[in-house]
Amino acid sequence: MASFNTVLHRTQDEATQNLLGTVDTPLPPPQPPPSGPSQLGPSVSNGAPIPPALEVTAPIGSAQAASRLMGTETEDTKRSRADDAQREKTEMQATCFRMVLNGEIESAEMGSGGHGPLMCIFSMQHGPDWTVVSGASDGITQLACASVPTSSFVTSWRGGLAEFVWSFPLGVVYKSTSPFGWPRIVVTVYGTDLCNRRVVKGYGSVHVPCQPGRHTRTIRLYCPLSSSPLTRLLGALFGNPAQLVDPRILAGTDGREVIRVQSGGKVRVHFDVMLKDTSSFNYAF
Amino acid sequence: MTALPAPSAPAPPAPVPAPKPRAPPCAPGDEFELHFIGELECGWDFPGLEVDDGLFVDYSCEAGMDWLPIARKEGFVGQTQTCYADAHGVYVFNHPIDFHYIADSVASWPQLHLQVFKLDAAGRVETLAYGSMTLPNACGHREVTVRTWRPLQRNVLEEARTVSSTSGADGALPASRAEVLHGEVRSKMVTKTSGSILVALDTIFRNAGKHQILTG
Repeated sequence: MASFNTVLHRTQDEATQNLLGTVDTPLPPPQPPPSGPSQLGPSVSNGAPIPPALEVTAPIGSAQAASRLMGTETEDTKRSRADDAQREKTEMQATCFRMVLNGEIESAEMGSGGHGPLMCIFSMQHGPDWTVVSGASDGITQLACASVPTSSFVTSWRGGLAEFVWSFPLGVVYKSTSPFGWPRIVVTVYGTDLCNRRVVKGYGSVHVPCQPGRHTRTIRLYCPLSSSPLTRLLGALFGNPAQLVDPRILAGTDGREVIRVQSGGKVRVHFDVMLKDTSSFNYAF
Repeated sequence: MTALPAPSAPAPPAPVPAPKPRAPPCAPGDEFELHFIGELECGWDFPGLEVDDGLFVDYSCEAGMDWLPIARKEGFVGQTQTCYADAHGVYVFNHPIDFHYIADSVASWPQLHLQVFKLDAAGRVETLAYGSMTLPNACGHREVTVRTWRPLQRNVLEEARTVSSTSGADGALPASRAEVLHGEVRSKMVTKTSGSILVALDTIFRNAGKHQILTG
Protein backbone atom coordinates (compact mmCIF):
# COMPACT_ATOMS: atom_id res chain seq x y z
CA MET A 1 0.00 0.00 0.00
CA ALA A 2 2.77 2.36 0.95
CA SER A 3 4.66 1.59 -2.25
CA PHE A 4 1.54 2.20 -4.29
CA ASN A 5 1.16 5.59 -2.66
CA THR A 6 4.73 6.48 -3.47
CA VAL A 7 4.28 5.49 -7.09
CA LEU A 8 1.08 7.49 -7.25
CA HIS A 9 2.81 10.48 -5.77
CA ARG A 10 5.62 10.22 -8.26
CA THR A 11 3.33 9.99 -11.28
CA GLN A 12 1.32 12.94 -10.03
CA ASP A 13 4.51 14.82 -9.46
CA GLU A 14 5.56 14.14 -13.06
CA ALA A 15 2.15 15.21 -14.31
CA THR A 16 2.47 18.44 -12.40
CA GLN A 17 5.91 19.05 -13.78
CA ASN A 18 4.69 18.41 -17.31
CA LEU A 19 1.75 20.66 -16.75
CA LEU A 20 3.96 23.45 -15.59
CA GLY A 21 6.60 22.83 -18.24
CA THR A 22 9.40 22.75 -15.68
CA VAL A 23 10.66 19.20 -16.13
CA ASP A 24 14.31 20.09 -16.20
CA THR A 25 14.43 22.66 -13.49
CA PRO A 26 13.08 21.90 -10.07
CA LEU A 27 10.41 24.07 -8.53
CA PRO A 28 11.88 27.38 -7.51
CA PRO A 29 11.90 28.10 -3.83
CA PRO A 30 9.14 30.38 -2.60
CA GLN A 31 10.10 33.93 -3.32
CA PRO A 32 9.37 35.64 -0.06
CA PRO A 33 11.50 34.21 2.71
CA PRO A 34 9.75 32.56 5.64
CA SER A 35 9.71 35.91 7.34
CA GLY A 36 7.19 37.02 4.72
CA PRO A 37 4.03 36.87 6.79
CA SER A 38 5.41 39.27 9.33
CA GLN A 39 6.11 41.76 6.56
CA LEU A 40 2.78 41.21 4.89
CA GLY A 41 0.75 41.57 8.03
CA PRO A 42 0.48 45.35 8.24
CA SER A 43 -0.15 45.86 4.54
CA VAL A 44 -3.07 43.47 4.63
CA SER A 45 -4.54 45.00 7.71
CA ASN A 46 -4.49 48.60 6.58
CA GLY A 47 -5.32 47.92 2.96
CA ALA A 48 -2.19 49.52 1.50
CA PRO A 49 -1.37 48.79 -2.15
CA ILE A 50 0.75 45.73 -2.59
CA PRO A 51 4.46 46.25 -3.25
CA PRO A 52 5.47 45.49 -6.83
CA ALA A 53 7.73 42.67 -5.73
CA LEU A 54 4.72 40.61 -4.74
CA GLU A 55 3.07 41.01 -8.11
CA VAL A 56 6.16 39.65 -9.80
CA THR A 57 5.90 36.45 -7.80
CA ALA A 58 2.35 35.77 -8.88
CA PRO A 59 3.13 32.99 -11.45
CA ILE A 60 5.25 31.15 -8.91
CA GLY A 61 2.41 31.34 -6.47
CA SER A 62 0.05 29.81 -9.00
CA ALA A 63 2.58 27.07 -9.74
CA GLN A 64 2.68 26.20 -6.08
CA ALA A 65 -1.08 26.21 -5.94
CA ALA A 66 -1.21 23.84 -8.88
CA SER A 67 1.30 21.47 -7.37
CA ARG A 68 -0.62 21.55 -4.12
CA LEU A 69 -3.76 20.74 -6.04
CA MET A 70 -2.07 17.75 -7.62
CA GLY A 71 -1.13 16.41 -4.23
CA THR A 72 2.64 16.90 -4.18
CA GLU A 73 3.27 18.28 -0.79
CA THR A 74 6.85 19.25 -0.16
CA GLU A 75 8.41 21.01 2.73
CA ASP A 76 8.67 24.21 0.74
CA THR A 77 5.03 24.30 -0.21
CA LYS A 78 4.02 23.49 3.33
CA ARG A 79 6.08 26.34 4.63
CA SER A 80 4.70 28.85 2.19
CA ARG A 81 1.06 27.87 2.35
CA ALA A 82 0.09 30.55 4.84
CA ASP A 83 2.19 32.96 2.88
CA ASP A 84 0.24 32.07 -0.28
CA ALA A 85 -3.08 32.66 1.35
CA GLN A 86 -1.98 36.06 2.53
CA ARG A 87 -0.73 37.01 -0.90
CA GLU A 88 -3.88 35.86 -2.68
CA LYS A 89 -5.91 37.92 -0.30
CA THR A 90 -3.81 40.99 -0.98
CA GLU A 91 -3.98 40.56 -4.75
CA MET A 92 -7.72 40.11 -4.64
CA GLN A 93 -8.07 43.26 -2.67
CA ALA A 94 -6.03 45.30 -5.07
CA THR A 95 -7.32 44.15 -8.46
CA CYS A 96 -11.07 43.76 -8.31
CA PHE A 97 -14.06 44.26 -6.13
CA ARG A 98 -16.79 41.78 -5.40
CA MET A 99 -20.51 42.09 -5.37
CA VAL A 100 -22.45 39.50 -3.44
CA LEU A 101 -26.09 39.29 -4.44
CA ASN A 102 -28.66 37.37 -2.50
CA GLY A 103 -32.36 37.78 -2.67
CA GLU A 104 -35.48 36.29 -4.08
CA ILE A 105 -37.89 36.63 -6.92
CA GLU A 106 -40.90 37.07 -4.74
CA SER A 107 -44.08 37.25 -6.73
CA ALA A 108 -45.92 38.40 -9.82
CA GLU A 109 -49.12 40.25 -10.46
CA MET A 110 -50.46 39.76 -13.94
CA GLY A 111 -53.62 41.82 -13.83
CA SER A 112 -56.35 40.44 -16.03
CA GLY A 113 -53.93 38.58 -18.26
CA GLY A 114 -53.02 35.83 -15.83
CA HIS A 115 -54.81 32.51 -16.15
CA GLY A 116 -53.55 29.46 -14.40
CA PRO A 117 -50.03 28.85 -13.19
CA LEU A 118 -47.15 31.17 -13.97
CA MET A 119 -43.48 30.33 -14.32
CA CYS A 120 -40.52 32.68 -14.37
CA ILE A 121 -37.25 32.15 -16.19
CA PHE A 122 -34.60 34.60 -15.14
CA SER A 123 -31.08 35.33 -16.24
CA MET A 124 -28.52 37.78 -14.93
CA GLN A 125 -26.71 39.75 -17.61
CA HIS A 126 -23.55 41.73 -17.03
CA GLY A 127 -20.96 43.73 -18.88
CA PRO A 128 -17.59 42.53 -20.18
CA ASP A 129 -15.68 43.47 -17.04
CA TRP A 130 -17.76 41.28 -14.83
CA THR A 131 -17.20 37.63 -13.92
CA VAL A 132 -19.40 35.24 -12.00
CA VAL A 133 -17.34 33.88 -9.13
CA SER A 134 -19.90 31.52 -7.69
CA GLY A 135 -23.56 30.78 -7.82
CA ALA A 136 -26.02 30.36 -10.65
CA SER A 137 -26.75 33.41 -12.73
CA ASP A 138 -29.92 32.01 -14.26
CA GLY A 139 -32.69 29.66 -13.35
CA ILE A 140 -36.27 28.55 -13.70
CA THR A 141 -38.83 28.87 -10.97
CA GLN A 142 -41.68 26.54 -10.23
CA LEU A 143 -45.15 26.92 -11.67
CA ALA A 144 -47.10 29.03 -9.22
CA CYS A 145 -50.82 29.45 -8.86
CA ALA A 146 -52.49 32.29 -7.04
CA SER A 147 -54.35 31.61 -3.84
CA VAL A 148 -57.55 33.04 -5.27
CA PRO A 149 -58.72 31.48 -8.52
CA THR A 150 -57.89 34.06 -11.12
CA SER A 151 -60.94 33.59 -13.30
CA SER A 152 -63.49 33.80 -10.51
CA PHE A 153 -65.92 36.58 -9.88
CA VAL A 154 -64.06 37.64 -6.73
CA THR A 155 -60.83 38.53 -8.48
CA SER A 156 -62.52 40.33 -11.28
CA TRP A 157 -64.33 42.36 -8.66
CA ARG A 158 -61.01 43.07 -6.93
CA GLY A 159 -59.57 44.38 -10.15
CA GLY A 160 -58.12 41.10 -11.30
CA LEU A 161 -55.03 41.43 -9.15
CA ALA A 162 -53.94 38.06 -7.88
CA GLU A 163 -50.50 37.39 -6.52
CA PHE A 164 -48.45 34.47 -7.80
CA VAL A 165 -45.76 33.77 -5.23
CA TRP A 166 -42.54 32.06 -6.32
CA SER A 167 -40.17 33.20 -3.58
CA PHE A 168 -37.33 31.78 -5.62
CA PRO A 169 -33.86 32.40 -4.17
CA LEU A 170 -31.09 34.23 -5.95
CA GLY A 171 -27.44 33.86 -5.01
CA VAL A 172 -24.58 35.05 -7.17
CA VAL A 173 -21.13 36.44 -6.43
CA TYR A 174 -19.56 38.71 -9.03
CA LYS A 175 -16.18 40.29 -9.34
CA SER A 176 -15.33 43.25 -11.50
CA THR A 177 -13.02 46.19 -11.86
CA SER A 178 -15.57 48.80 -12.93
CA PRO A 179 -19.26 49.41 -12.27
CA PHE A 180 -19.82 49.78 -16.01
CA GLY A 181 -21.98 46.89 -17.10
CA TRP A 182 -23.50 46.43 -13.67
CA PRO A 183 -25.53 43.19 -13.60
CA ARG A 184 -29.17 43.23 -14.59
CA ILE A 185 -31.78 40.60 -14.07
CA VAL A 186 -33.94 39.75 -17.06
CA VAL A 187 -37.15 37.91 -16.26
CA THR A 188 -39.49 36.10 -18.63
CA VAL A 189 -42.87 35.10 -17.29
CA TYR A 190 -44.64 32.19 -18.92
CA GLY A 191 -48.29 31.36 -18.38
CA THR A 192 -50.99 29.35 -20.03
CA ASP A 193 -53.60 30.57 -22.45
CA LEU A 194 -57.23 29.48 -22.61
CA CYS A 195 -56.34 26.23 -24.35
CA ASN A 196 -53.73 25.40 -21.70
CA ARG A 197 -50.78 26.09 -23.98
CA ARG A 198 -47.66 27.67 -22.59
CA VAL A 199 -47.26 31.22 -23.83
CA VAL A 200 -45.15 34.21 -22.90
CA LYS A 201 -46.91 36.57 -20.53
CA GLY A 202 -44.27 39.22 -20.12
CA TYR A 203 -40.67 40.29 -20.15
CA GLY A 204 -38.88 42.77 -17.95
CA SER A 205 -35.52 43.72 -16.56
CA VAL A 206 -34.04 45.76 -13.77
CA HIS A 207 -30.51 46.45 -12.65
CA VAL A 208 -29.24 45.00 -9.41
CA PRO A 209 -29.19 47.85 -6.87
CA CYS A 210 -25.79 49.43 -6.53
CA GLN A 211 -26.03 50.22 -2.83
CA PRO A 212 -25.37 47.57 -0.20
CA GLY A 213 -28.39 46.58 1.80
CA ARG A 214 -31.83 45.20 1.17
CA HIS A 215 -33.85 46.59 -1.70
CA THR A 216 -37.19 45.76 -3.21
CA ARG A 217 -37.74 46.45 -6.87
CA THR A 218 -40.83 46.10 -8.97
CA ILE A 219 -40.23 45.06 -12.56
CA ARG A 220 -42.97 46.19 -14.90
CA LEU A 221 -43.60 43.65 -17.60
CA TYR A 222 -44.49 43.92 -21.24
CA CYS A 223 -45.22 41.54 -24.05
CA PRO A 224 -44.04 42.00 -27.62
CA LEU A 225 -46.70 42.64 -30.23
CA SER A 226 -46.83 41.19 -33.70
CA SER A 227 -46.32 43.62 -36.50
CA SER A 228 -49.73 43.10 -38.10
CA PRO A 229 -53.22 42.29 -36.77
CA LEU A 230 -53.34 39.13 -38.86
CA THR A 231 -50.25 37.58 -37.31
CA ARG A 232 -51.53 38.73 -33.95
CA LEU A 233 -54.75 36.81 -34.50
CA LEU A 234 -52.96 33.76 -35.85
CA GLY A 235 -50.59 33.78 -32.91
CA ALA A 236 -53.48 33.90 -30.46
CA LEU A 237 -55.27 31.11 -32.31
CA PHE A 238 -52.34 28.74 -32.55
CA GLY A 239 -50.84 29.52 -29.16
CA ASN A 240 -47.77 31.02 -30.74
CA PRO A 241 -47.76 34.75 -29.98
CA ALA A 242 -44.83 37.01 -30.74
CA GLN A 243 -41.91 36.41 -28.45
CA LEU A 244 -38.29 37.40 -28.28
CA VAL A 245 -35.81 34.94 -29.72
CA ASP A 246 -33.19 36.10 -27.22
CA PRO A 247 -34.61 37.90 -24.17
CA ARG A 248 -31.09 38.93 -23.19
CA ILE A 249 -31.34 41.92 -25.52
CA LEU A 250 -33.59 43.49 -22.89
CA ALA A 251 -30.51 44.09 -20.77
CA GLY A 252 -29.01 46.23 -23.54
CA THR A 253 -29.99 49.17 -25.67
CA ASP A 254 -29.26 47.72 -29.09
CA GLY A 255 -32.26 47.06 -31.28
CA ARG A 256 -34.79 48.10 -28.71
CA GLU A 257 -36.33 50.74 -30.95
CA VAL A 258 -37.80 48.20 -33.36
CA ILE A 259 -39.85 46.38 -30.72
CA ARG A 260 -43.50 47.12 -30.04
CA VAL A 261 -44.79 45.96 -26.71
CA GLN A 262 -48.00 45.82 -24.75
CA SER A 263 -47.50 46.80 -21.12
CA GLY A 264 -49.01 44.80 -18.30
CA GLY A 265 -48.02 42.89 -15.18
CA LYS A 266 -45.44 43.23 -12.47
CA VAL A 267 -42.79 41.10 -10.82
CA ARG A 268 -41.51 41.94 -7.37
CA VAL A 269 -37.89 41.10 -6.55
CA HIS A 270 -35.93 41.46 -3.32
CA PHE A 271 -32.20 42.11 -3.51
CA ASP A 272 -29.68 41.76 -0.70
CA VAL A 273 -26.46 43.33 -1.91
CA MET A 274 -23.06 43.19 -0.27
CA LEU A 275 -20.02 44.95 -1.65
CA LYS A 276 -16.45 43.99 -0.90
CA ASP A 277 -13.09 45.66 -1.57
CA THR A 278 -14.60 48.78 -3.11
CA SER A 279 -12.73 51.18 -0.83
CA SER A 280 -9.41 50.65 -2.61
CA PHE A 281 -11.11 51.84 -5.81
CA ASN A 282 -12.43 54.98 -4.11
CA TYR A 283 -15.97 54.24 -5.19
CA ALA A 284 -18.79 55.95 -3.39
CA PHE A 285 -22.10 54.13 -3.78
CA MET B 1 14.32 72.81 15.03
CA THR B 2 14.21 71.01 11.76
CA ALA B 3 13.34 72.87 8.67
CA LEU B 4 9.88 72.20 7.31
CA PRO B 5 10.16 71.20 3.67
CA ALA B 6 6.48 70.64 3.25
CA PRO B 7 5.19 74.17 2.56
CA SER B 8 7.69 74.85 -0.19
CA ALA B 9 7.03 71.66 -2.11
CA PRO B 10 3.34 72.03 -3.01
CA ALA B 11 3.55 75.77 -3.56
CA PRO B 12 1.37 76.32 -6.64
CA PRO B 13 3.32 77.57 -9.61
CA ALA B 14 1.72 80.89 -10.41
CA PRO B 15 2.21 81.02 -14.20
CA VAL B 16 0.34 77.90 -15.14
CA PRO B 17 0.53 77.19 -18.86
CA ALA B 18 -2.82 76.85 -20.51
CA PRO B 19 -3.69 73.14 -20.53
CA LYS B 20 -4.39 71.34 -23.73
CA PRO B 21 -8.05 70.54 -24.30
CA ARG B 22 -7.88 66.81 -23.68
CA ALA B 23 -4.89 66.69 -21.38
CA PRO B 24 -5.83 64.85 -18.22
CA PRO B 25 -5.48 67.23 -15.29
CA CYS B 26 -4.69 64.45 -12.86
CA ALA B 27 -2.75 61.24 -12.73
CA PRO B 28 -4.24 58.23 -14.54
CA GLY B 29 -6.43 56.35 -12.14
CA ASP B 30 -7.28 59.49 -10.20
CA GLU B 31 -9.92 60.88 -12.54
CA PHE B 32 -13.32 61.80 -11.27
CA GLU B 33 -15.51 59.07 -12.72
CA LEU B 34 -19.27 58.86 -12.63
CA HIS B 35 -21.61 56.00 -13.33
CA PHE B 36 -25.31 56.44 -13.82
CA ILE B 37 -27.00 53.06 -13.84
CA GLY B 38 -30.71 52.58 -14.06
CA GLU B 39 -33.74 52.53 -16.28
CA LEU B 40 -35.93 54.87 -18.19
CA GLU B 41 -38.81 53.08 -16.60
CA CYS B 42 -42.28 54.19 -17.63
CA GLY B 43 -44.59 57.04 -18.56
CA TRP B 44 -48.17 57.93 -17.71
CA ASP B 45 -50.80 60.67 -17.83
CA PHE B 46 -50.18 61.64 -21.43
CA PRO B 47 -53.31 63.44 -22.62
CA GLY B 48 -55.25 62.84 -25.78
CA LEU B 49 -54.11 59.30 -26.55
CA GLU B 50 -56.19 56.59 -28.15
CA VAL B 51 -55.97 52.95 -27.15
CA ASP B 52 -53.97 52.07 -30.24
CA ASP B 53 -51.43 54.85 -29.85
CA GLY B 54 -47.97 53.72 -28.96
CA LEU B 55 -45.34 55.84 -27.28
CA PHE B 56 -41.59 55.85 -27.53
CA VAL B 57 -38.94 58.14 -26.13
CA ASP B 58 -35.88 59.52 -27.85
CA TYR B 59 -33.28 60.49 -25.28
CA SER B 60 -29.85 62.03 -25.25
CA CYS B 61 -27.56 62.82 -22.39
CA GLU B 62 -26.00 66.25 -22.86
CA ALA B 63 -22.93 67.12 -20.84
CA GLY B 64 -20.31 69.83 -21.01
CA MET B 65 -17.11 69.76 -23.01
CA ASP B 66 -15.15 68.54 -19.99
CA TRP B 67 -17.26 65.43 -19.70
CA LEU B 68 -15.90 62.44 -21.60
CA PRO B 69 -18.42 59.67 -22.31
CA ILE B 70 -16.68 56.32 -21.96
CA ALA B 71 -17.43 53.41 -24.28
CA ARG B 72 -19.73 55.55 -26.44
CA LYS B 73 -17.87 58.06 -28.51
CA GLU B 74 -21.08 59.57 -29.89
CA GLY B 75 -22.44 60.18 -26.40
CA PHE B 76 -25.30 58.43 -24.71
CA VAL B 77 -28.25 58.69 -27.09
CA GLY B 78 -30.94 56.24 -27.97
CA GLN B 79 -34.54 55.38 -28.49
CA THR B 80 -36.78 53.14 -26.44
CA GLN B 81 -39.21 50.52 -27.58
CA THR B 82 -42.70 51.48 -28.68
CA CYS B 83 -45.16 50.54 -26.01
CA TYR B 84 -48.90 50.48 -25.56
CA ALA B 85 -50.64 51.22 -22.29
CA ASP B 86 -51.66 48.67 -19.72
CA ALA B 87 -54.99 48.75 -17.86
CA HIS B 88 -53.87 51.67 -15.71
CA GLY B 89 -52.60 53.82 -18.54
CA VAL B 90 -48.91 53.17 -17.84
CA TYR B 91 -46.50 52.88 -20.76
CA VAL B 92 -43.55 50.68 -19.82
CA PHE B 93 -40.33 51.65 -21.57
CA ASN B 94 -37.93 49.72 -19.32
CA HIS B 95 -34.94 51.05 -21.21
CA PRO B 96 -31.60 50.31 -19.58
CA ILE B 97 -29.30 53.21 -18.75
CA ASP B 98 -25.59 52.74 -18.13
CA PHE B 99 -23.78 56.07 -18.50
CA HIS B 100 -20.10 56.27 -17.68
CA TYR B 101 -18.35 59.63 -17.67
CA ILE B 102 -14.95 60.95 -16.79
CA ALA B 103 -15.31 64.58 -15.74
CA ASP B 104 -12.51 67.11 -15.85
CA SER B 105 -14.86 69.70 -14.43
CA VAL B 106 -18.06 69.48 -12.46
CA ALA B 107 -19.52 72.44 -14.33
CA SER B 108 -22.35 71.79 -16.80
CA TRP B 109 -23.55 68.61 -15.16
CA PRO B 110 -25.12 66.16 -17.63
CA GLN B 111 -28.76 66.55 -18.45
CA LEU B 112 -31.06 63.90 -19.82
CA HIS B 113 -33.17 65.28 -22.64
CA LEU B 114 -36.34 63.41 -23.46
CA GLN B 115 -38.64 63.66 -26.43
CA VAL B 116 -41.80 61.56 -26.38
CA PHE B 117 -43.21 60.44 -29.70
CA LYS B 118 -46.58 58.99 -30.53
CA LEU B 119 -47.05 56.26 -33.11
CA ASP B 120 -50.69 56.09 -34.09
CA ALA B 121 -52.63 53.32 -35.76
CA ALA B 122 -51.95 54.70 -39.23
CA GLY B 123 -48.21 54.62 -38.65
CA ARG B 124 -47.70 58.37 -38.27
CA VAL B 125 -45.11 59.55 -35.83
CA GLU B 126 -45.66 62.82 -33.96
CA THR B 127 -43.91 64.53 -31.14
CA LEU B 128 -46.03 64.41 -28.02
CA ALA B 129 -43.91 66.03 -25.36
CA TYR B 130 -40.50 67.27 -24.32
CA GLY B 131 -38.82 66.99 -20.97
CA SER B 132 -35.44 67.23 -19.35
CA MET B 133 -33.83 66.36 -16.08
CA THR B 134 -30.46 66.89 -14.50
CA LEU B 135 -28.80 63.64 -13.56
CA PRO B 136 -28.47 63.18 -9.79
CA ASN B 137 -25.45 64.85 -8.24
CA ALA B 138 -25.28 62.67 -5.19
CA CYS B 139 -24.61 58.98 -5.06
CA GLY B 140 -27.39 56.62 -4.14
CA HIS B 141 -30.67 55.49 -5.58
CA ARG B 142 -33.00 58.10 -6.97
CA GLU B 143 -36.32 57.83 -8.73
CA VAL B 144 -36.99 61.00 -10.64
CA THR B 145 -40.30 61.91 -12.19
CA VAL B 146 -39.79 64.07 -15.24
CA ARG B 147 -42.75 66.31 -15.99
CA THR B 148 -43.08 67.02 -19.68
CA TRP B 149 -44.73 69.66 -21.83
CA ARG B 150 -45.46 70.29 -25.46
CA PRO B 151 -45.28 73.58 -27.34
CA LEU B 152 -48.53 75.25 -28.31
CA GLN B 153 -48.96 76.63 -31.78
CA ARG B 154 -49.03 80.32 -32.53
CA ASN B 155 -52.75 80.70 -33.15
CA VAL B 156 -55.95 78.82 -32.45
CA LEU B 157 -56.34 77.44 -35.94
CA GLU B 158 -52.94 75.80 -36.01
CA GLU B 159 -53.50 74.51 -32.53
CA ALA B 160 -56.79 72.92 -33.53
CA ARG B 161 -55.09 71.35 -36.51
CA THR B 162 -52.38 69.90 -34.29
CA VAL B 163 -54.86 68.50 -31.81
CA SER B 164 -56.95 66.87 -34.51
CA SER B 165 -53.60 65.59 -35.82
CA THR B 166 -54.60 65.50 -39.45
CA SER B 167 -51.56 67.42 -40.53
CA GLY B 168 -49.07 65.18 -38.78
CA ALA B 169 -46.91 68.18 -37.99
CA ASP B 170 -44.88 67.73 -34.88
CA GLY B 171 -44.77 70.51 -32.36
CA ALA B 172 -42.67 73.09 -34.14
CA LEU B 173 -39.78 74.19 -32.00
CA PRO B 174 -38.14 77.59 -32.53
CA ALA B 175 -34.70 76.02 -32.27
CA SER B 176 -33.02 72.68 -31.93
CA ARG B 177 -34.09 70.39 -29.14
CA ALA B 178 -30.92 70.69 -27.13
CA GLU B 179 -31.04 74.48 -27.17
CA VAL B 180 -34.69 74.58 -26.20
CA LEU B 181 -34.30 72.09 -23.38
CA HIS B 182 -31.25 73.85 -22.09
CA GLY B 183 -33.49 76.76 -21.37
CA GLU B 184 -32.22 79.78 -23.27
CA VAL B 185 -34.68 80.17 -26.13
CA ARG B 186 -37.64 79.05 -24.13
CA SER B 187 -38.87 82.48 -23.20
CA LYS B 188 -40.62 82.86 -26.56
CA MET B 189 -42.64 79.69 -26.20
CA VAL B 190 -46.12 78.87 -24.96
CA THR B 191 -46.45 75.31 -23.73
CA LYS B 192 -49.00 72.95 -22.35
CA THR B 193 -48.70 70.30 -19.68
CA SER B 194 -48.19 66.74 -20.80
CA GLY B 195 -47.43 63.45 -19.05
CA SER B 196 -44.78 62.22 -16.67
CA ILE B 197 -41.84 59.89 -17.13
CA LEU B 198 -40.20 57.92 -14.34
CA VAL B 199 -36.42 57.52 -14.46
CA ALA B 200 -34.77 55.34 -11.80
CA LEU B 201 -31.05 55.92 -11.41
CA ASP B 202 -28.26 54.66 -9.20
CA THR B 203 -25.30 57.02 -9.11
CA ILE B 204 -21.76 55.93 -8.34
CA PHE B 205 -18.82 58.30 -7.95
CA ARG B 206 -15.17 57.45 -8.07
CA ASN B 207 -12.43 59.58 -6.53
CA ALA B 208 -14.86 62.25 -5.36
CA GLY B 209 -12.95 62.50 -2.11
CA LYS B 210 -9.60 62.86 -3.84
CA HIS B 211 -10.92 65.87 -5.71
CA GLN B 212 -12.48 67.21 -2.52
CA ILE B 213 -15.96 67.13 -3.94
CA LEU B 214 -18.62 67.12 -1.28
CA THR B 215 -21.94 65.61 -2.23
CA GLY B 216 -25.12 65.32 -0.32
